[in-house]
Amino acid sequence: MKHKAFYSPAGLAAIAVGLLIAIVLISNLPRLRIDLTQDNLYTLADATRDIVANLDRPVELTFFYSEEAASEVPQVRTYGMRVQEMLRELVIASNGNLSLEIVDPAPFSAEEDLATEFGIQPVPLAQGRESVYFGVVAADPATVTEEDRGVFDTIPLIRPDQEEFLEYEFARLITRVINPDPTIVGVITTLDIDGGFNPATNQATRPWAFMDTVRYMYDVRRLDDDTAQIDEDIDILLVVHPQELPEQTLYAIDQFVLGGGRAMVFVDPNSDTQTQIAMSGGGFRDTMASDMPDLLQAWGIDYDPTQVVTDRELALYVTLQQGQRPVAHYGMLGIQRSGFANDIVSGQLEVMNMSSVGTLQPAEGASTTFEPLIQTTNQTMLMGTGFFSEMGDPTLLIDEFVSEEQVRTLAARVSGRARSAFPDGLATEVTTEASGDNAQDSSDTTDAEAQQASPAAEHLSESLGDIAVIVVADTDVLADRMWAQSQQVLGQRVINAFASNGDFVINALDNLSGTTALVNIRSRGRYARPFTRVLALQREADERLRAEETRLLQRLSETEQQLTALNQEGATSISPEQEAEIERFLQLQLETRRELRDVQFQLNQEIDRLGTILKTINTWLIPVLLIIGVLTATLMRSRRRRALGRAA
Amino acid sequence: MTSLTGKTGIIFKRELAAYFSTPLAYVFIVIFLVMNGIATFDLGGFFIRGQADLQPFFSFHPWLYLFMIPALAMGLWADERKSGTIELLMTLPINLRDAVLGKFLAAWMLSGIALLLTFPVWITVNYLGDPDNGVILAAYIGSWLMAGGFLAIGSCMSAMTRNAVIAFILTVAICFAFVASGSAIVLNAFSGWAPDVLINAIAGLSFLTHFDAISKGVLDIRDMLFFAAVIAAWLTASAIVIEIKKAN
Repeated sequence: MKHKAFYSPAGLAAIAVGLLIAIVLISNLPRLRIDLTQDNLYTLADATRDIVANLDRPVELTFFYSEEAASEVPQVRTYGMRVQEMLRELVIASNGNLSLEIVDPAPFSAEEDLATEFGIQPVPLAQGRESVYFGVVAADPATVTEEDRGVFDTIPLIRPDQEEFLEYEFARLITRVINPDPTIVGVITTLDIDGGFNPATNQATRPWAFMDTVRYMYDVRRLDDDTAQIDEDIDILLVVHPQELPEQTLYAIDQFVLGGGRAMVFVDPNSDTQTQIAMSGGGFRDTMASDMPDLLQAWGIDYDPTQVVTDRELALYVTLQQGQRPVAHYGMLGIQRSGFANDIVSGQLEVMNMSSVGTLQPAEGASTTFEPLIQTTNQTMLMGTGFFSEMGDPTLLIDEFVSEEQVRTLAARVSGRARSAFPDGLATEVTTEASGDNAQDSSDTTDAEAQQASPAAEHLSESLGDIAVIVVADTDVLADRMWAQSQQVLGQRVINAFASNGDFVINALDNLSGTTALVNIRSRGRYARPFTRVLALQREADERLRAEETRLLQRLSETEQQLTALNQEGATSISPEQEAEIERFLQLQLETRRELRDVQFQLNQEIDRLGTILKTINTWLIPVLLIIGVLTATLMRSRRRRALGRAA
Repeated sequence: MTSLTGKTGIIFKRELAAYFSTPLAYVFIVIFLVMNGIATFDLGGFFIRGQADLQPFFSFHPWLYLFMIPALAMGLWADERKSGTIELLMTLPINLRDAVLGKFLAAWMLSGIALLLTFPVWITVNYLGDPDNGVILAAYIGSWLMAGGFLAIGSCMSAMTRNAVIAFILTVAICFAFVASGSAIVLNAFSGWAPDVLINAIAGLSFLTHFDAISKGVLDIRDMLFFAAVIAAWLTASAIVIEIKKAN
């Protein structure tokens, strides 16, 4: 250290260079870190480790990343690092199943051609800047031949706003390469979602817009409403509006789910589509509701098909007649971001429109895990389906509405172990009956069919593994009018979505089409942590002041009525007494309005006051205490000194 | 590191006691806390945001330190030189390393105490909701490390001049460069002519990037080593500067 040359400007320069070298070396060190987050947000999930560690053959990952161009934008650069780290982490966890290559496609290079060949497109970061490649390809080297690239799958652009879903996206990419077969979706429905015939107009109807997308992405197989067996090769069952399904079909669904099949179920206390058809004389049903009570219970879900959720905050505005002012419809909900759980299925949705929705909640003592995907605000009230079965005046709902101050779940994911809704299997006679009253001489055939439909030997009384079901308490969410306008362009149907309803269905099917491990990877942890204390205060204040508000509103309405009555009376002549009375009422009206404003003001005042108190404490408490402490100490010291001086 | 019971420890204790025997420590702490409160609540909208995390609190720390830490560091050596006590210090039977480290540690401890005294905000966020305290702990560690980085720079600048005001301005300027080095403005100045390795190194110098990574809740060895390297390099530079000045 005492070296002369070191203590010189040259030494300083050496340190500067040394620091730069050290920083480069440090940034290239292997990752070693402690994840202090509560939910281990930055540590791979067990499910991901399972997937990559148990691949049956190797997969090659290639990360196309324009490092040089990205380095000019620090955020992208940081994100690029994060992506690389995640990919490296996957490679480490894969026991040698995964390999990673990072390619920086320079302009006009062979690497750039390769990126294009894999479908990765450059994205311009900003005007005048170089475009950036930021995508990942997973390929199965076993399928590569000289002429063919073999099986591969691509994430063309890794979006920075999807950081929390990175792990899922990569695991999904890898599983898609290992299992490239198209997913088969079986559909059971009592609605004409896949196109049908409208008896009212006597015309064929088109498939609903979302089904076009589902058909485009998956192999769709329509199943009969009374199907007794669900083919083994069906991966996901899409059940829409199950109305009075026969026992054998319910049993088939039950066994399918317990056997590891995935299901997405849409039930509805009131299907607007059916209501409209019924009202236009196109067919009548006793109920517009759908349900699978035993099955939902067995999966751990409580659902009441006679109740519809109304929400004051989420109400959509509808125009009943042309030229009229739009009115809030408390039964038609436009759910915003805050209503979506941070799940792979719902985390990226913008807005979803739903109509006369039911509510789901975890059944008591359920063995499954119930995770809400879509929720209301707490300004809700459950109302009977009677209000909705006819398209009446939605202001009726406003009059009836009294907030129950409860957040309701409109869609949920259910996973975990479940028991059969048919603990003893399906009674054979039910299947026999369903086959019709066959003649005695064909009884052998019937028995054989019954055996096939309900193979008693293979009855599952509980699930083989974890079940994976997504349930939505609305079917109108799928209807075109709630989310998409479609038009014909050059013979092609072009869907123009104004809400995320379609994305939700595709996200859910996409998620359910993965392996169980994949379905278990969720977007990680809780990112939203609201001020629970403030929410509680808000509720408390609401409750306390609501009574007062109601009283004042009542008084205001009475005053206004009396005033109107007096005005009408006084159309011909007004006595001085009446005039005085009118004056008194006007005064009362003004006063009531002022008081009402005060009440509404008070609602927020308490919360504001809490904010001010906390701000004051945080800004001034310690400084003031410190100043007082120092002053006291100084004062005592000088007194002691004076006393000592006097003593001396 | 030299044990705090050794000579470094003696300097450390002497310096820390000196801070608290004058109004300096109290003024520093009071201003730091008040500025923090204003930044968190008024600029960061902590309460209006309604989220139980300390992001609005920590996000202002790099900018707060940019002015507060140079003020703390400016007197480290400049005052000694101005009052002539540096010669006295150098005649004592302690080596330069002990003096540099001891002074730095005392100032770092003071910034740590100031940081700890922000505890009401931690209580507040726990009172209001259910925050991820792991993330908060990591962010506190990151913030303190960053303060160490700023202080080490300040120590070197203070050693360069006997004028504390100049030391302050120089420290602010260099700290600003370190905070902003990951930004496009700085990198653009290098892109085109400098090799990638150099651009990467410059981008890697950014306090913001490393602090952000830690304050997410992950203590990565690379981020910790970065701050350690920065502190070590600038403290060594401080020693060299003092030695050069002494020779002059």
